[in-house]
Amino acid sequence: MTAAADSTQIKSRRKRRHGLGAWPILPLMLFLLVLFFYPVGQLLAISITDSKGVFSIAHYKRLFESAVYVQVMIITFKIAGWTTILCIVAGYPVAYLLATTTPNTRGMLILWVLLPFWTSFLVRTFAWIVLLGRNGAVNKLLMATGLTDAPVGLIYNFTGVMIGMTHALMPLGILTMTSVMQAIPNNLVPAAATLGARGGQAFWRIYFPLSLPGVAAGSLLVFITAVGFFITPALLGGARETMISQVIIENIQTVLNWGFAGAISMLLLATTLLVFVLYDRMLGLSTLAGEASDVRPGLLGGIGARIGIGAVATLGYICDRIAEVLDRIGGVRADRPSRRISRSVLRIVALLTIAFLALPSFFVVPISFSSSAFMEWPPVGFSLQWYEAYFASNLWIGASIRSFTVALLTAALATLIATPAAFVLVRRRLVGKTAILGLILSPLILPRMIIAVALFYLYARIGLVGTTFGLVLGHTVLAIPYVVITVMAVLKTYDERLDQAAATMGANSWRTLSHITLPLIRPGIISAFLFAFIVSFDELTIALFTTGGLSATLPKQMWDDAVLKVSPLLAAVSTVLLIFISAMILLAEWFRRRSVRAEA
Amino acid sequence: MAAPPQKLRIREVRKSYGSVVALYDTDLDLAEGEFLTLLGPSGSGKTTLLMTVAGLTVPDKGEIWIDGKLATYLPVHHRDIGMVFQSYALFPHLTVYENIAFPLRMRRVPAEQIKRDVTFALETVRLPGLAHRYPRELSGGQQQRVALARCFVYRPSIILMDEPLGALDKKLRDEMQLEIKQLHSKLGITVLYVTHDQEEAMVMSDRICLMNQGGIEQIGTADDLYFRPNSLFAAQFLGDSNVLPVTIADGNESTLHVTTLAGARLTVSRTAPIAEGKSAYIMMRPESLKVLAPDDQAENILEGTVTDLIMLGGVSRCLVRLDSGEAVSNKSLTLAAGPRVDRGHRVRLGWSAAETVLLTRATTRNAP
Repeated sequence: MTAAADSTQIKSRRKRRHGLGAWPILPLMLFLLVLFFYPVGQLLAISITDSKGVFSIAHYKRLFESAVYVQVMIITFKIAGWTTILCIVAGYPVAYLLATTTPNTRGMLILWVLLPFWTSFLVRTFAWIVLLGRNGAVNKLLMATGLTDAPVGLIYNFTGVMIGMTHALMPLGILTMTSVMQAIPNNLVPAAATLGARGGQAFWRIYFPLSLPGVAAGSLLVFITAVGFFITPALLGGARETMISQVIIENIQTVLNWGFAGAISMLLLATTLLVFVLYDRMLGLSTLAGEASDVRPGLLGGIGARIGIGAVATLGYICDRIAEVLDRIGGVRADRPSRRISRSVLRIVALLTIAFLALPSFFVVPISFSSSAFMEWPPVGFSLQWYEAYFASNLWIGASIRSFTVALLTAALATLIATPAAFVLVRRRLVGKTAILGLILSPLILPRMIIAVALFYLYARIGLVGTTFGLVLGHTVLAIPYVVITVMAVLKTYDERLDQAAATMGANSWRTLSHITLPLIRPGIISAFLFAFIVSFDELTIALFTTGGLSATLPKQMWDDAVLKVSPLLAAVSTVLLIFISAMILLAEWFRRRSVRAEA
Repeated sequence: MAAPPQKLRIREVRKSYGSVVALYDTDLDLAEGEFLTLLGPSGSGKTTLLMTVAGLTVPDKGEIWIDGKLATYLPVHHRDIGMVFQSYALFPHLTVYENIAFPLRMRRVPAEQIKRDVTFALETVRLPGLAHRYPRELSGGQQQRVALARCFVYRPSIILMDEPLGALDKKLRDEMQLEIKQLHSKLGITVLYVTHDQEEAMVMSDRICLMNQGGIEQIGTADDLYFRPNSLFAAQFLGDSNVLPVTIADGNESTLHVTTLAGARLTVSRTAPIAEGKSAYIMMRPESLKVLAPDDQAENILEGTVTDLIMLGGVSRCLVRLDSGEAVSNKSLTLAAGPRVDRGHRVRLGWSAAETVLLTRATTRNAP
C-alpha cells in the first residue's frame, strides 16, 4: 500500500471518530436549540422591540425609571445575598463533617441532607407555615415555655423568607462544598499537626484556604438560584419581600405585557451571567464541578493575599489561644487520653443543622389529620376529612394523574435523548466539549422563570398552551441536565476495557452496547430516569404559565390553592406527595448503590 | 563508651479496632542517630506502630517516650516529631518556601532565622532555585525532597517515614534511598522508617524490625535477619530460601544430625538446645547450595533433577527437583564458560553444616 493511500485511510478513520462519531449528541442539541435557546432568544428580541416590532429600549427605560422596580431589584439582591451568607456559614460545618467522616456515615447523612432537597418546594413551604405561623408550633412552644407572652411575627416578613430560603437552598451549598472538600487530601491536616500546628492553625492555614473554591462555588449556585425564587417569598414573605420573579409572574398573568416581562427576564439573566463572569474571572468555572482543589496563585496574589494570609493566621491564633485555655482547664496530659472537644462540637452543630433541614417537612403530617379547618398547632382532633376531600375531588385527582403522566413521559423522553449524548461526552473526543457541556447544563443554571416565560411565549404562538405535550417538552428541557450528569457519572467509572474485551471476542459495537455496556450501567440509567421524573413531578414554574389555567398539574393546583387560602387539605396533599417522592428517592438511591456495587 | 541516649522508648503498646487487634503489646527502643526500619507484609502492624508514635493513632495501652519525655497521649503538635507521608502531604496552596517555613512559623521562630533555616534546608536537599514554586510544579523526586526538607528543618527528635518512596518508579526510588541514607548520616537524625520492600530496608537501615501479625517477629541488622533468622517466617520473608521439613535425629555439643522426610541424613550446627525426635525445618540460602562435580564432596549432599535454568544477568538460578519430590534452587555467578548443567540432568547439590539454619518455629509470634 502506498503512503498516500495509508494517509487517506487514517484521515477517513479520524473523520469517523470526530465527525460522525458524535452524531448521538445531535438530537439533544436540536431539542435544546428549538425549545431552549430559540425561545430565550425570542424573549430577548421582544424585550428590545416595541409593539410594532421596531427596535426600542422603552421597556428597559420603564424598568429603571420606576422606583418600584429598582426597589424590587434591591430587595431581590438583599434576600439572595443574606440567603447565601446563611447557607454557606451554616452549611460549612455540615459539609466539613460530611467530607471528613467515614463513607458509611456520609452516605446516610447525605440522604438526610438530600431528602428535603428533593421534597417539593411547596410541601416545605407549607411546613414552615405550620411551624412559624401565629398559631404555629414554634410560637406555641415559645409561649408554653414563657419566653414570650404573645405570638412572635415569624412569618410574612423578612425572617420568614430567610428561614424558608435558607432551608430550601442550603443542601445545594452543602453538596457543592462537600464535593470540593472531599478532593482535599486527607493527610494534610495530620501533616500540619506533625509539623507542630494545633487544630486551629491547621484548619485556618491549611484546610480553609483549600476549601475556598467550594465556598465560592456553593455561594455562586445558591445566589443565582435565590435570585430567581418566587414560591418562598410569595408564601412566607410580606409585600415588602417581593422579588423579581414575582414581578414577572404579575406582568404575565395579570397584564400580559410580554415586552416588559421579557425585559425583566433579561435583567435577571444578565445578573446571573454577570455573577458567573465575575466568578469565572476569580476562580474559573471548573471549580463548580469540584474538580480543582488548587487555588490559583493569582487569586490570592498581591495585597489581597497578605490580608487573606494575615486573616487566617489570626483566626488560627485566636482559636489556638482559646484551645490552650481549655487545655489548661481540661488538662492535656501525656499519660491519659484526652477528649476531642472540637470534634464533638462540630458534630452537634452539624447534626442540628441537618435536623433543621430534614425535620420540618414532617410537620405537615400531623396537621393533615386535623379536624379543624385551619392550619393550627397542635392539630385539633383526628379526622380523615382532608384525605377524603382530596380523593373525592376531580380537580385534585385529575391534577395528580396529569402530573404523573407528564413526569413519566418527561423521564422517558429525557433519558432517551440525553443518554446517547452522555455517551458522546464521556467517550468521544470532541472539539469544544466543555462549551457543549456548558450549553447542555445551562437550563440548570438559568433561572427557571426565564425558561418558563420564554416557553409560554413560544407556545402561545404555536398553540401548545394547555397541552400535555407542551408540558412534557418544557419539563424535558429542565430534566436533561440531571440525566446527562447522572449518566456521565456512571460512564466515567465504567471500565471501557470490558467493551474492548467484548470486541476482541468478536462482538460488533451494537452487540457490545446491548450485551455488555447497557446491562452494566442499567441501574445508573434507571436512577437518571427517576431523577428526571422527580424534577418534572415537582415542577411549578413552567406549569404556572403553560397550563393556561385549565389542565393544572399537582404543584400548580397546590400553588393556586395556597395563594387563595392555606388549609389542612394542602397538608394532606403534601403528605401524599412526601410519601410518594420519598419512595421515589429511596428507589433511586437503591439503584444507585446497586450500580456502585456492580462496579466494585 | 556510654550508650547513645534513647530517642524513642515504646513499652507494651497495644491497639485494637473493635475485635481486631492491629498491634499486640509491643516494646521497641531507638537510639540517637539510629535508622530503624519497620518491615513486614501489609496488616503486620508496622503502620499502626508508626502512627501511635506520631500520635495520629491513640493506643489502647502502653507507654511511648520520646526523647526522655512521656508522650503516649500527647496531642500530635506537642510531640517533637517529624513525619514524611506516603504521598508527601505537601500543602498545595503554599510555595516550597512556605511549606518548609510552616513548622518554623508554628514554633514562632523569628523571621530572620526562618529565612536562614529554609535556605539551608533547600541547599541540603539540592533544590535552592525552587523556593517559589508550588508543589504541583515539581517532579515526584523534587516533591519528595521538599517533604524531607520540611521535616528536618526544625530538627525534631525523631523523623517518621511512612513508605515515602512508594509512589516513585524503581530508578528514582534507588536514587532517593541513597539520598535519604546520606541525609541521615550527614545530619545525624534519628529515623523510624516503614516499608514493605525488603531490599529498601536492607539498603537503608542500621537495624530492621521485622513485623508479622501485629507484633515484632525479629529485630536485628540486615546480616542477622538474613543469616540468622529465628523463625520460618523471617527466613522466608527476607531473600530467597530453600526450606525442608526435618526430624531431629541425634547430635553432640556442636553439631546435630537431622533426617529429611525422604530419610536423608544431614548435619547442622547446633545453636540452641533441642530434643531428639522433634520436627523442625532447615533453611539454606540458594547461594549456599553448590552444584557438585562428580567427585566433589560436601558435609550435606542431596540429589535431584534439573527442572529449569534461569539467567538473571550476573547470577543464574538452577531449579532442582529433589528425589524426595521437594523443589529447591541454587544461585551462582553466571560464567561465560565452564561446567554447565542442562534441563533434565541429574545433579548433586552440596553445602556445609555452618550454612544450614535450623528453624524450630514457624513464627516467634505466639499470637492467637
